Amino acid sequence: MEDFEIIELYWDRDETAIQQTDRKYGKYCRKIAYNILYDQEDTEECVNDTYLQTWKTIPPERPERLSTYLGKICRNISINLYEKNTAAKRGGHESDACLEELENVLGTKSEAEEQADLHFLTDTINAFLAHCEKQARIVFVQRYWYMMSVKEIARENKLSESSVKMTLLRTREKLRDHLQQEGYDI
Amino acid sequence: MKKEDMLKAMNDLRDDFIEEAAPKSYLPKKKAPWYAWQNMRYALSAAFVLILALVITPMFGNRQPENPVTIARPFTDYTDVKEAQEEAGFTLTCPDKWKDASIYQYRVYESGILEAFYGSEDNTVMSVRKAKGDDDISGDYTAYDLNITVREDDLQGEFNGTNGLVKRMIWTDQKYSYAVLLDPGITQDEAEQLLHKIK
Repeated sequence: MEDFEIIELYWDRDETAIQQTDRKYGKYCRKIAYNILYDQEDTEECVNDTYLQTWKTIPPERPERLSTYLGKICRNISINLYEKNTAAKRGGHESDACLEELENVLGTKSEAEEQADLHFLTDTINAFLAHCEKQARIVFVQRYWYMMSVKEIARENKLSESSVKMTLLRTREKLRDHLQQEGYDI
Repeated sequence: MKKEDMLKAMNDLRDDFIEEAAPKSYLPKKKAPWYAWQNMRYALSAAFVLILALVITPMFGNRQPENPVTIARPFTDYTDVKEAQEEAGFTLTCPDKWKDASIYQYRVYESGILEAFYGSEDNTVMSVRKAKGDDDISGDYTAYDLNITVREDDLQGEFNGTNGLVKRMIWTDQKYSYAVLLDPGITQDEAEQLLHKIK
């Protein structure tokens, strides 16, 4: 079923919208959630919450890209659950590794950073990525948006793992420079 | 800023970047080859329409400048009401607390709705929506058995619910429309009090 047809089902308040969403994008959402949570039960909970949230927001929303609309909701819910779960204990999985890597890009103690607006930071990262080479951007987004492992990224892009690590390192360094230019105290 | 904020900021990356990087193994498989013929037909039809438009439009001197592609961002969450109001372009007045529940989040939708959530992420007991216009913005299309029409000066709307309790309130004051969703429901008296606290 095409995305616009699924969106019409939501607008018609037809509950098969959720079945059709799960049939087409269930795997996509589960992968996103699992890469963050590394737990099957939590993943299912987040995917179900994603469908519920989608049901509540369409209408009035009419997303242009259903996949990324679902992906953003699912990633957001999963990160919130991840934060809740790891408040007591770190899990030692891919999202921990991503956080450690990003910590070197954006420090944790600067007052300016603490006050920085998330929205502005998103725009800054988007502007940075717009000027990156396509391959570097894909690898960066797969690592820090999809939270894929280096091994998985290498397989997906037919690259060696060391090449992926090097690309990520260079992109992080460039991002750090870009953030500094934009006034972030790093 | 915490390092976790970096991951959250990444959540709203441009849709085209996310789509471009989507791993093939995550997405549904492409259609069977026979179906491609159907797509080819659509493509040829679209190409024909495009050629026709390119030929005809200049004849009438009606060419419009191209608009830049806009990227969809479904909604943005805020903890500060001022930031949410600034994004929405209007103010929302509602109680800081409802019974024991406080506002834990504001959300501004791409379509211009500003929403306040009461309770907690795990247990939202009330949400208040406001938007310009007079459309039903509740997003709740349940057929309730309790339906009460509300009419007062410029304000008109309805309360809906079940078992004598109001679970949905929608109204418009001509300029803005409002929607309140409640779980659990409240009495009609409570709904009337609440209605006057929201502007």
